[in-house]
Amino acid sequence: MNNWKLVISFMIIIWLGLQLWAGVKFKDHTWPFIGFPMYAHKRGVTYDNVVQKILLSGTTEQGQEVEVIPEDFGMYSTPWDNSVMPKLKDPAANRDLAAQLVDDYNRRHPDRPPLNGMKLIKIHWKMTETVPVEMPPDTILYYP
Amino acid sequence: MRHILNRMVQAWDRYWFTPESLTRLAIYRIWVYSIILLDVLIWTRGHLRYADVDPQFYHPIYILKFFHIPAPAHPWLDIVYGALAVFVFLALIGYKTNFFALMASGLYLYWVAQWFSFGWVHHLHPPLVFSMIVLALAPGGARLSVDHLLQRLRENHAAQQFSPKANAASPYAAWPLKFVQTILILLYFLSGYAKLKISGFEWANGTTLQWYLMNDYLTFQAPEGLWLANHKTLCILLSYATLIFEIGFVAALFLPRLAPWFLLAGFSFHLGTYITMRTFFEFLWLTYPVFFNFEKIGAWLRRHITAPQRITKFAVLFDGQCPLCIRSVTTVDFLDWRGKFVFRDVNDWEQISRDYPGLDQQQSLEEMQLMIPRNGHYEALAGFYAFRKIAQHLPLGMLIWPLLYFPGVPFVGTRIYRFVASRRKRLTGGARCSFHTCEIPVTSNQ
Repeated sequence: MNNWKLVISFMIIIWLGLQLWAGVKFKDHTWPFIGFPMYAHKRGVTYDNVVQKILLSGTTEQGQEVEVIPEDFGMYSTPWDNSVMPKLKDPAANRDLAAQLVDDYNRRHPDRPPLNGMKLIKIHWKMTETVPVEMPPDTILYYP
Repeated sequence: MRHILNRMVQAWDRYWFTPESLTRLAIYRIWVYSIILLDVLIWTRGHLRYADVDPQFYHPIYILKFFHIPAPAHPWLDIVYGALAVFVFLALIGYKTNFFALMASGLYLYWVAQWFSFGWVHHLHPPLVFSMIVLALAPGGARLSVDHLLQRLRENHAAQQFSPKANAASPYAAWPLKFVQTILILLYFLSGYAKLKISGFEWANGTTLQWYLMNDYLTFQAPEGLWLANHKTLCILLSYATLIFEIGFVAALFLPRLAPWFLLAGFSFHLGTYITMRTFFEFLWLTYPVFFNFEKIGAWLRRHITAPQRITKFAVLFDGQCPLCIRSVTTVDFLDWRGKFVFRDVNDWEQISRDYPGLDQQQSLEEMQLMIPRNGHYEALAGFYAFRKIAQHLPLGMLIWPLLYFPGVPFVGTRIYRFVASRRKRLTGGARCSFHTCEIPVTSNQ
């Protein structure tokens, strides 16, 4: 083997090794070397039977409830679901963030009825052998 | 011990560095960069919005953290986006291929990495990102590229004669293809490994798939998913089939003949998850062509599907001692991806007159002739009309071919052709036109 082939061979070994390591260790922040644990956890309609979704809405000064979406805050689903929503679910930090979001919404949308509050609710579905059944929602945050 | 080591090195060398067709590698380059161009211009164009997101939500992944790259902001992200689109296009057409492919790979890595630096990392991109990088490091632009056309124009001009294109094999053309194949197989294997490592064979007990189907139904509302969730036995069978496919694909590394079956299974798997869960994993199956030998597929199609009369080649007769003519036929030969044309120098008049009786030598020197076989005879087209017919049979030429039929175009085209042909020497430049028959030997009154 000549020197070029040696260099390429070395690179191939390192590259495949990094991918194998990231895959076996289920890494994701090491992208583009990552693991593939998606859909890998065992689930069951009989023993892990509740699915939750979190929904956010705003409340106007007239008491109306309006749906808010990530685009209302100059964002969209990926950073919203993975950065904003976890903070909103955290009781220690969510009221400050909700206040910040209300201000942000009113500043960005002067043409819409101003918000003075936010509501975060958790919806549950119970998995049965045939269909998911919706359960009564829980309120996580009611600001102010 | 030394003997065993030697054999291992030889086996390694055979696996990664057996000479492979440069055209096959070039086809894969065009495929990959076409997809990336679509991705940049259409599918992920919206990621420019990340420059508007509050930087408090920016959590850079390691690759960005390592280079201390801050949260995306205007106008830098817009500049990166524009440069990325241009570099990908240049790598696609094969201009300074390795340089622009490397630049495109770096910017695309950043483009996707900044998307994944807002709390969520997706697992779709590695096969295509890795394809971009290895193509930048390999002779991906040695064929079907602007680089190759320019190189052939230089070589034919220096040699003062036209040499038809020839495919060539290189020991450095196989490893990028083998590497991407191995990565793809490894990714599926790691996906199967994760299921068995985390859940064991309980993953395939049917209820897991039922749960995921219902969970995705709540988001995507695919009724087919709910239907499948109601058939537990089918869920069990499909779960085992998934494990067999993901783990078993490794066999294709050692038995390449199995690869088409696994690819078929893989595509069916992704189609199934799309129908029932609305997840398509397109960046995985869009990498499958790395297993295809398009040259062999094309040859097979020509042999078995194309009608025999359509296989017959057209002959382009040109003045082989005219630099401009050599450049023109070199370009036509380059664009003739279907191998529709053969090129013959009219200066070999003895042979030409035998093969095409009745052809006029003076006219053949004045204007390019295209000989079209018809029922054992040849129909001759000259000048602009030959050019128009050639355009009809070149894949890229078809883009302009209909325009050549517009009213007035043949009238103007014929005159432009004759104008250029009669002033070959001036157009090509005195210094370059060093052939002793550069000028048309016999002037025409036409």
